[in-house]
Amino acid sequence: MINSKIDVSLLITFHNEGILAYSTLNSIERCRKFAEAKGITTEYILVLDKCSEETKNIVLSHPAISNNLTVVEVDHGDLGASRNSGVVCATGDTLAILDGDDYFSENWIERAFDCIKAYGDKVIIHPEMVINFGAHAAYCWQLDQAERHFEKDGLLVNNYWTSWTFAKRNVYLEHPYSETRPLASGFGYEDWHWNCEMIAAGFEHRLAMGTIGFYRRKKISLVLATAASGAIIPPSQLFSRVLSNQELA
Amino acid sequence: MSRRRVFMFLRGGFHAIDRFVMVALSGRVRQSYIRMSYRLKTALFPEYGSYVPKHSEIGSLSQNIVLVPPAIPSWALDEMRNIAKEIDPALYPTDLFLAGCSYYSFPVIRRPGQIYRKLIQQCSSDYYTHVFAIPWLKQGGADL
Repeated sequence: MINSKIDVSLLITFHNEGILAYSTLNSIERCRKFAEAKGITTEYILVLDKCSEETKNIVLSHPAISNNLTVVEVDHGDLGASRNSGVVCATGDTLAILDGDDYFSENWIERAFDCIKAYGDKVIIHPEMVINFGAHAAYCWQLDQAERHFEKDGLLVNNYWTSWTFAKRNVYLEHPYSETRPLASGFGYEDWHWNCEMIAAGFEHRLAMGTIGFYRRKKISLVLATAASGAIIPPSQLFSRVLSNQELA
Repeated sequence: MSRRRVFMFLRGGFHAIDRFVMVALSGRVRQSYIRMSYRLKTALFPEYGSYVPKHSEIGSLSQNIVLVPPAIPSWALDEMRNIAKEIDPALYPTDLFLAGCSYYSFPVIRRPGQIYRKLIQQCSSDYYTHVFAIPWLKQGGADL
């Protein structure tokens, strides 16, 4: 029997990306080929959440779509819940959370996988750089928790990382994303909340040096809609009374 | 000599003039010198951003508050070129793209979190039905 052990599950969420989904899949396929050339086995987990017919057709007809693929169709209308549904179906030892309209440097998956091996299981890996393009162009470096100027208390008012993460699959199973639904609940920013929860659970956010995430800026986006609604992140264990008392004891 | 080396050389010259010549001149002359230098930098090296400090942002030499944002590293520019060729031309780092591409950093503001921790320590329960926020209430005085 062929050894079908999967090293990395590439979990991508789609909603209404349209033709942009095609370019994103091209970019992720480029990462996948680069990683596989280094001996890293992969699988695709495509989560289609309330996906438009057009986007669905574009995604499912993409040439990168092969046998190593699981399509998860859901009706959540919530990014956190969509990712959780995908995680349950994944079989990889590690898992990458990717968005359906962004791009990534070719080495992102390979280096992130190496970082897990180097740093151990209790880490979340992020790309070193973020380059924004589209409606707004800008660039920055993300924060490494091991850096001297990292301050976890700053997470009360600002998120330090994008939603692209890489970790052991069990991490996502044991620490699912919160369902936020900003317009209905007043809570949003499931990725910011998850980042906080992971620190509270004893994980460290680290960077894969030399990697980039290219973040497509749009005139209308979920982040902008969430901000406009005045939503805040759900209560986090990172700022809970118990954890604060433990640290100050 | 590469563009980056030329840029770094000119940048060193800019700082040397600022430190040793401008110190003898008035603040207004120094402000004009710095703003003109930044405009020149934008024209000659658009890949290093288009930021020009306002007059009010240029203080005395000792304050040293003029920020030179880090440039996009060459390895990142190479990757952008590759993605542009293979996937999406929108990512090609043209002069126009780089001139409009501004640097930012994730703000690390710890004080609100620290204050929140102190406040939450004072709470005796994890669950409350009502919370009154009275930020204007001060200790002492006739109101107590």
